[in-house]
Amino acid sequence: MVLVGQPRARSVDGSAGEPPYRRGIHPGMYKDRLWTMRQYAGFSSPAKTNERFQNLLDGGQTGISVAFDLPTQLGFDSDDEISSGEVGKVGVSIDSIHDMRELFEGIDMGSISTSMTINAPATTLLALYVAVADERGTPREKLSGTVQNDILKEYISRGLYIYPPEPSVRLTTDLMSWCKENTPRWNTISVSGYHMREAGCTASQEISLTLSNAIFYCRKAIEMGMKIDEFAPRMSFFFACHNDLIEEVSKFRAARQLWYEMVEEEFSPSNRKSSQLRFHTQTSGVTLTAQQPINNAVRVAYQALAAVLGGTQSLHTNSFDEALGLPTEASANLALRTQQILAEETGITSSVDPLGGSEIVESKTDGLIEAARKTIMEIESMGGAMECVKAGLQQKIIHESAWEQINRVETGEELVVGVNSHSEETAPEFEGLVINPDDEKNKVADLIKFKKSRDENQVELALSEVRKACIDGTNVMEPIISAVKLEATVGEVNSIMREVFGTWVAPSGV
Amino acid sequence: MRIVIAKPGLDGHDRGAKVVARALRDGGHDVIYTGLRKTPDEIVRIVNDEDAEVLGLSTLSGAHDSLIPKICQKLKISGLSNVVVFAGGIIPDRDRSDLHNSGVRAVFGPGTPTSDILHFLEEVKSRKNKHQEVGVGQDPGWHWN
Amino acid sequence: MALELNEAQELFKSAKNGDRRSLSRLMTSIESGNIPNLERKQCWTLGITGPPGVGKSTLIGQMISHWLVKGHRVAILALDPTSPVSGGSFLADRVRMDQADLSEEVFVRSIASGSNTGGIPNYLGEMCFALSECGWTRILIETVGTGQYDIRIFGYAQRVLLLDGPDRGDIIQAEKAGILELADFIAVNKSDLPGSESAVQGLKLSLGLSENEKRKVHLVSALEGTGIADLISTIDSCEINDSRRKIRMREMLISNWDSLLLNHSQIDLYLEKLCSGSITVNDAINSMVREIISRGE
Repeated sequence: MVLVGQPRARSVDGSAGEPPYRRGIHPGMYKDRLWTMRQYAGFSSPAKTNERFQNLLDGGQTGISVAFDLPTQLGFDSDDEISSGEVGKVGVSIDSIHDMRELFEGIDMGSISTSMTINAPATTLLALYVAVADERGTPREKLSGTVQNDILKEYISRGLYIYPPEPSVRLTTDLMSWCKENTPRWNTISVSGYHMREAGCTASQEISLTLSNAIFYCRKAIEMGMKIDEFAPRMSFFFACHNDLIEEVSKFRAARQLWYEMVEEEFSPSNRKSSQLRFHTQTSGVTLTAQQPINNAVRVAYQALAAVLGGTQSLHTNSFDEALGLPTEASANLALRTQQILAEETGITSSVDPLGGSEIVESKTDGLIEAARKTIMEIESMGGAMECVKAGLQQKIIHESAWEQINRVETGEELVVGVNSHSEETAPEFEGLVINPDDEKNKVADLIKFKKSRDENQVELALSEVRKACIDGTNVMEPIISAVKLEATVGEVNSIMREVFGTWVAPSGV
Repeated sequence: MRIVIAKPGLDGHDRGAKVVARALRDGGHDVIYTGLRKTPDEIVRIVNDEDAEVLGLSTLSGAHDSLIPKICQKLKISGLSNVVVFAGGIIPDRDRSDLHNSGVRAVFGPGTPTSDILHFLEEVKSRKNKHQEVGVGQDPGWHWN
Repeated sequence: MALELNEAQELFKSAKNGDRRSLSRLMTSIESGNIPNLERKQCWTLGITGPPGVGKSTLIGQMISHWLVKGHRVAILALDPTSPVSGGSFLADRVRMDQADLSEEVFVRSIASGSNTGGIPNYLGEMCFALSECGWTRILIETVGTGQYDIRIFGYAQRVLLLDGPDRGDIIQAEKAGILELADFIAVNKSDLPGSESAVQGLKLSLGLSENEKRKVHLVSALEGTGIADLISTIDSCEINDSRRKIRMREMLISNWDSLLLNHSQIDLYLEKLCSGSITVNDAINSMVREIISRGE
């Protein structure tokens, strides 16, 4: 029975900083340390992106998050025919060590934490980062940051995969074990629910699909000879935050508790960090509307609020104009200010898990744990995350949920202001960021010049070492670092891998 | 009608393409979904071999300005001028007129009800029946939006 | 009608001269019932059946590459289910045949299974004859892969390959029983099984085959491409078994019969009458058949 107007509370098991971490992984949460404000940014040339990074850092951002363009994320050079039209569009174009130097010009790699959204060619991009740090004399053990390095969700929802599952996962674990030895402060994987949620799955499916993938990576790392405490503390997670505030807050709490339970059950780690779910959150792109776009700023603020109430470790707030095109400097700035207002004005940072103990939040949290566990069991019974990806199960789950959601909106069961509620006829004029088409031409011309200036024999030799490592199964990281130092490009390293590993098309789930 | 829904370019976001494909199927059409990352040549080949009457192109990476005109051009030189082309995804208003000039008959942004696309197709069909020109390489006078 | 037939004839002529646009329009023309004069001589066809999600399209992608190397021209007719509610189809298998999209020597055509319950439209035979006369030397027909009706493929394909997974469960066993008996080739798609004799024996048992089974069970990995060359050589060296002729004719007969009935212009009326109980099933069949005969269909 629901009693209207009655204050409703419930006791919560455990406190923040204590297992099962339902209330948070740190006892003091934001009282001790604010979340990292980390805006995903990158467009056009490395120099222009560097300028945007400097602006964001001057504006009070505390970490860097690199958005790469699609050719880079798929391991193609800018001068590849297939890259035409895509160079520098959704992120910065990185072909070589020359570009990576420019990207981090004037930024101290020893003190900044850098997150790179890079998956299929994660080994190559991390190698470039390390190569530049080596040149500058920044010790490898001081490097801190994250590579996303989560290939399963690429097959499932994001679509930026290159190689078949098995060799892809081998690259994932190569990177993990290399970092363990060389860059102990580097987060080697960011297991991502974000893109699956954006592609249409529900909050509980976001938990279950993400944690199933994470468990798969743990098992693979252990198969490769690592111990749970050697890599799990450096695993992080990445979630979306949508509009249903209570459900989203509960989702983060549920994910934390469930991950703790799953890791303890299966791996019995000794390090408590191994079963703590640390996560980055990004506000939702798909909830943003092209209609009445300024409303999106309000959506972003509520979503950011939910992420903070849910205890996120870092946050990206979207720009209000992303349903229309690429964000401008002004809209990106407003997005960052949204976080700063939350941190400095709202007062929510002064308490830990402020919604914990609310009847509705606690029962939602329980419900989400239960629902997610059920889907995780289903995936287990079909042979685990990778087998299910090959059969298209997760893709199908997501497509079905996306279909149900659009039907709810179209029947008016779910309201979207500006779309099926309070809509207006006139659309406001919108000035989005325009990428100068000359930027692509210049990038391609620069790359061609760069390739001509290299010592081709050295490049060939270095690439043949990469090929050898790919074939004989030894760790690929050092050969790639050597190759990119000798000016081999992202496209060249990955074309070696395409040649050795082949390519694959994941089932679409429809 | 036989409709090809294609993803040109490199972006991997196909939530919209798959949902639209399904809505068109439920609207009684035969829909062929190409999967991700198709080049203009591949798309034209698929449209030809499948003898599609309509081609829907979904892109979210901002590469529509170069890719879509390229595909339209290739359709025209491959004897596929009567194929009806529409586009969807994140396409700023300022780019619409260029797409219309290339022969694109409709552009659907985020939040478009799927019924709008079905209505567009009905309109296309009735214009075709009246022998009015709606194909990518035909008189560009009419566009849906 | 004469006009359309003339057009079909023209399309056929230029398709034979290698015009790809005409070939694809010819397929549409055949689909809508305008069939040119075909020689109907034997053509090389292979049906590929197996449960949904088992990897048929991926396997076909692999087989294409092998045949291309041998100088074949490969046509694929991919059948997809038609929604009984909207009449629309989702022809989505295209997504798994990545390498097929650019070669001049590969032709992929999706076919809505239409109102035919068999999942096999009865013009499929004409499509194969036309493709064969246009110089396509390997014609593959990929079935929907659901339900007992997949067996109709034997009416249209000279040889049939059943692709299965290693442990697919009892429900599917029952559905594929007939296909399993008749299939010329059996392949099991699983990447991580060793190709040992014991594994094959285990698979034979799990597939419900006897240990004395003469047909070789091929272990393939559609994903990795292993075992494909061996499968191709078995398929290519297989003699067409004429004892199959009767089975083929039987399936073709049933399929055509189904389609006559289902395409009957008054079928909805008869269904309503049956629902309301005003006629019996026998009444319905009698009068529908009479109408079909009198219209000379």
